[in-house]
Amino acid sequence: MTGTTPNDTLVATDIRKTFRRSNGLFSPASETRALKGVSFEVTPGEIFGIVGESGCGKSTLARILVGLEEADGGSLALGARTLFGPGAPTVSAVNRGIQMVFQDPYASLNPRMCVGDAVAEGLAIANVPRAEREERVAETLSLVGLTPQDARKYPFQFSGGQRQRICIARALVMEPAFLLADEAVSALDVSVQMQILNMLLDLRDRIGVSIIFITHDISVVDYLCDRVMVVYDGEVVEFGEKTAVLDHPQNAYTQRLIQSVPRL
Amino acid sequence: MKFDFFNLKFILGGLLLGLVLFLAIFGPILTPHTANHQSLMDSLVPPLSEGHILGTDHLGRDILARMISGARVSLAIAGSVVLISGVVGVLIGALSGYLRGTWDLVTQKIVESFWAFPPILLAIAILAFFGQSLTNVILALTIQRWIPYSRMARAQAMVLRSRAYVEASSVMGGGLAWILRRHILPNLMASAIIVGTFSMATAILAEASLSFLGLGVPPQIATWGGMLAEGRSYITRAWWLAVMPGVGIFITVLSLNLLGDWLRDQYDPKKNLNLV
Repeated sequence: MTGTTPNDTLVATDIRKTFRRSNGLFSPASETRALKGVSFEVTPGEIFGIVGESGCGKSTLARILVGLEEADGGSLALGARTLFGPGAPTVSAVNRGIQMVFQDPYASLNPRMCVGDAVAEGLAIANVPRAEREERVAETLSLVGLTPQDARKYPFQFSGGQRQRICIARALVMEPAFLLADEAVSALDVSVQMQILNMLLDLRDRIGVSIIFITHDISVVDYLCDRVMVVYDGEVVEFGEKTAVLDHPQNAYTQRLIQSVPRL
Repeated sequence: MKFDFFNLKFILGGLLLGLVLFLAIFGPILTPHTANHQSLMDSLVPPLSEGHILGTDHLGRDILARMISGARVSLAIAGSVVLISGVVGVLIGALSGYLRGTWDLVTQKIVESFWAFPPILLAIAILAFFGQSLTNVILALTIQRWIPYSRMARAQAMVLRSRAYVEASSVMGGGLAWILRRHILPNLMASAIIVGTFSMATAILAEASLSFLGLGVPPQIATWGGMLAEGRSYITRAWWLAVMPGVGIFITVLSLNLLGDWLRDQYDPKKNLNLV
């Protein structure tokens, strides 16, 4: 439904974003340069990690990729399709083929919507007939390790980890080429984190979805990702295969970041 | 959502409001008289007399029949005012909080300028300008009463718009109408109902004040405020003329406040409820 095939590469070129805040009439507006030209590419079927401390711009990058925020400059292309960029019309969020999983599993689900309706929301917006919606919801819920009967329950009946599974199902039902997870396991405790990470690995193998995983946690990157990009203060400081970056970091910031995490 | 129905506020408020509603709906069964039937031979009959349970006024009109008419007028006006102002206020406020920007700025300036007028003065001005009628009373009372709803809805919408489920919805293609209908409005309904309950109480008071001043519905319709105004000059000789409509207003407003209070307690997050 998104018009993308699973063998398209996502190419981001020189993405820039500056936030301006007015300080009243008499003082100049203050500027925060959240992204100072970020370029990378994600190949089909890979799990791509974006690491950095809070405030480094990684969440802004995520919001720009899915279309919640507009970039000031740069371009994004999926295969031959330009999603945004100079001289090209900006493709709306739903048509980009990138779906997002958010950090807080408790704020990610509308408490007044049953799970079936929440997962089917994107399909309902696209006017998919009810029978087909129910079928696809049941399918997707089984894919993330829940039962089709769970569709009738409400979010408060689920734990944080289960809610995150529901959010992943809600994203997957849209059949995206890319799943963008912004700190998707940071709010969960360690054993539940592990279950979700294993499920993501399994999903990649079974349905071939590419995953962009944003995190501050080096150990999660180590477990999950194929390639890593380290972002510091709005700039990419290191980029490459996971093993290369984690075992032989070239950049001073990356070295400090890796040293700060106890590794087993 | 579990409501605690064995609660003094709910039982008392429900009983009193039930009494007023019963009076308004089934009142004519209780008395053979009509609200405007005069009988000068029976003027100023005290309460609990033969044929006139609540007595009669200076023109011999049955107080119970007039109380019933008053209850109907009060509830009809307050009900429509709450409904209209609630729908208008919630929609404007939710749009304002969700869209922000120019729309928000413009509506907030309108809200502030309405807020600058004393409510009763504005209502009097509107009625003096447009003339007395049922619809004009409703208009005069509605024109300020949508503001508390819009403020509440705006504040809630500003919180809700940055919720992850609203952002997820827009990533999945949800437009303004979809997000308002499926996410914003259902989540601020509870607060709107609470505002509505209290607003209904003040609407009844405002309607009574207008009638008391002779600016409410046309004078041939008996209202609690009008009865109070007429009974005022007889207060030393025939207390029931003023006390009966006063009790009517008191009971209705008290019951609505009790119910509103109870509802607010039920939705209080400290009562282990996960509301928003």
